[in-house]
Amino acid sequence: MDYSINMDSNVMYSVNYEYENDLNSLSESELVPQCYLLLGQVQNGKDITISRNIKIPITLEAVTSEFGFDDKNLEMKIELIRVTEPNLDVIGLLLVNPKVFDYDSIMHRLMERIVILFRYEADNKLECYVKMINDFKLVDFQYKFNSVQVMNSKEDKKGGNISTYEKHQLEETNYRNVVEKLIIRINTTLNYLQKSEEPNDLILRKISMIISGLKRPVTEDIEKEIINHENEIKLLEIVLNQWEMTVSD
Amino acid sequence: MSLPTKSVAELNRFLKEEYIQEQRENEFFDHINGLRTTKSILRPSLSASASTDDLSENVPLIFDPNQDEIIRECNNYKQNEREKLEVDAQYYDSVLISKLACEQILNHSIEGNRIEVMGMLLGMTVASQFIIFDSFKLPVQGTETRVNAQSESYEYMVQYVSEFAQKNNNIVGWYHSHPDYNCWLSNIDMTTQDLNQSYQDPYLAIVVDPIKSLKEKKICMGAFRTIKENDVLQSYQLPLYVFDSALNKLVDETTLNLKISNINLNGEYLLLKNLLDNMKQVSNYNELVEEDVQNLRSRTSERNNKFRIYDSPRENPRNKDASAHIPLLDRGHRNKSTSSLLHLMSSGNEESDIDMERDSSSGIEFDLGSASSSLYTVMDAPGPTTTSSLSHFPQLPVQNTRRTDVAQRDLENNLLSGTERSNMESETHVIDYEKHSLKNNHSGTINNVTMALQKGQLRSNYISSKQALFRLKIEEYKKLRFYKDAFTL
Repeated sequence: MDYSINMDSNVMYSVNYEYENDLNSLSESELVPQCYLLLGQVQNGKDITISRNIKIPITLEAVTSEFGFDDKNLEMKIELIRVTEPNLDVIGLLLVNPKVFDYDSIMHRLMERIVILFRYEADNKLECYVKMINDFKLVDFQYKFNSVQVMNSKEDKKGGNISTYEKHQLEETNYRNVVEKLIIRINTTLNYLQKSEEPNDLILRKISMIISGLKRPVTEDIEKEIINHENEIKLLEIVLNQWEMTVSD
Repeated sequence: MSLPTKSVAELNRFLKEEYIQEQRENEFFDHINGLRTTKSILRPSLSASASTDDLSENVPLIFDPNQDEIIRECNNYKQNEREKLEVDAQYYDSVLISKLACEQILNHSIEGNRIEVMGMLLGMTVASQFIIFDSFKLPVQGTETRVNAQSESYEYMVQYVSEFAQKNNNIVGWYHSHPDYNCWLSNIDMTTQDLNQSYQDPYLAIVVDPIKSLKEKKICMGAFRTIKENDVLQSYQLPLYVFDSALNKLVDETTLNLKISNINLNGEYLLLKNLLDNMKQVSNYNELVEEDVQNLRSRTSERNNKFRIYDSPRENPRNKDASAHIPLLDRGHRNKSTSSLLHLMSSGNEESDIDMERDSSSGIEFDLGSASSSLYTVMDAPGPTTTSSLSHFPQLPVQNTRRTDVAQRDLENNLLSGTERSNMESETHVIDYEKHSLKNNHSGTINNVTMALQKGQLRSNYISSKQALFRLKIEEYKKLRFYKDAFTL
């Protein structure tokens, strides 16, 4: 089954805030154990949207040396969230630094309620898994961003205060990033087309639309505009050079 | 430069490398600014400070230190005893808000659409700054123009804070939306805010307009507090700075957002005008320097002519009209007195004639042969001339003797006003000889230095305006090439 998993970008912003906060409170440690309950909605059994997260107040059990948590406290937190967002259900779990910390005991207690699992190596990578019958399968997911961007770029927010040099640096970095991301996306698409025996019709239609868009030629007058601009620059250069020579005489 | 052979990326690099100097200049000014101000990571830099325009547009500004540094700074912050005391109503002067809180507030208000929504702000205050890390929704039912928190909301608020708020974080304010009627505090909002400020200060009000934000694709948000002036309740706006976490980079990098800088088309006209102004100033300067040299030459030759010994006064063209009343200078009566020479310099002046007559009548000898050297002797002489002595030769009306000074003043005026003067007026400047004679030893050096500085200034103005124009033209060109490349595969 093809899953469509969308995660609200705010979920990760919130996780990162809580993580940095704990990291600063426990200054002796470079990594901190954290586990989050993910709330969201599942539609048609395959369209999953994650909208909220709740930090599970984990404790270290003295006898077993395993992580545990207070069920009642967690339920109270879920209920508090549902007061303002009644449509949300528990759908997943997000484990921070799972390679370092063992969250098996927590997963075991919540296994019945979750359908997806995220493994997050802070500042490195985030992987999404969907629960199958006996196992978890690695799947792709997408972030859901607001169309209104709060911090679009340094340039946008700083307005006139950004230096030309800084602007060029940002533009160049941005340009390179976009090209790199495009290459990754193209490779993913090619990989999907090569490996998938029955490609999804919707995906095929989208790919077709992109290709037809790429075939679009440049406007007729662009060459003329480019030549005009070249000539203007050359002319300006010649005029100024001549004037400079006259003045220096 | 050969533009057609360059790729868009090369053009971009070319533009960047061309303006490294500018960055260095900025670094220098940053350093100077740094020296002027005590640096704190929680204080916005001078370059990022909010202007009045930013406030009126309700656009939060970006804040450079990231979330991690801010959290660390807040954890280390010990509240000063003095701050716990009653502080000035306008004591709080800025707001730092996390990207998380901003997005939460915005999303909540967008969900509400045309209905007003309300929530609370979690954070702390550090000195005179509000630091907002998080926010949460309140279970309230609003209308299109009003939203009120009831008692159950207050219960929810207390429960939420006890369960979710981080250590050191408290409720430091509230937010609500103004769908499509911009960010400001209405009278009811001001009353609510004033009440909260009275009982649980520090307290802040944030207003967000979701409709305008969606229309303009950028967040429209304002932070406010109230103040009572002569028993009249008023609100004042605080600059809002957004900070981000370095960890969020992982999330943000997934977006594919290519921004191409907008070019101000009006900018080309202004830059061209600026370049032409600078060119005119350089030309004027050169003309004036040349004119000055010519004046010096002509004056020298004129002086030589003036002091040429004529066999007969009638041979002297200057004496053709005046010969009737100018007594013949007797070569045998050469005057060592400089006053006669100075008055002679101002020939054509009736007074000088009289003086000359008087001098000649007094029978003082006038040394024509040493006239030229006498002039400079006077100029160089550090004579203790007083104002009273000026009656003798108090002021020397010298025509263009220091023309460079005139030129410099005019150039300075040009530089200040930005207008060019194509024709320099011929002026007669009166030079105080007392001052002049004292300064004369150094004036040559000073003038040379001043002239060199002015020349340097004009040159640098010209180069920077030329570079700015080229930069704009090449950026336009680069943009066109990019569009062409984007559609040519």
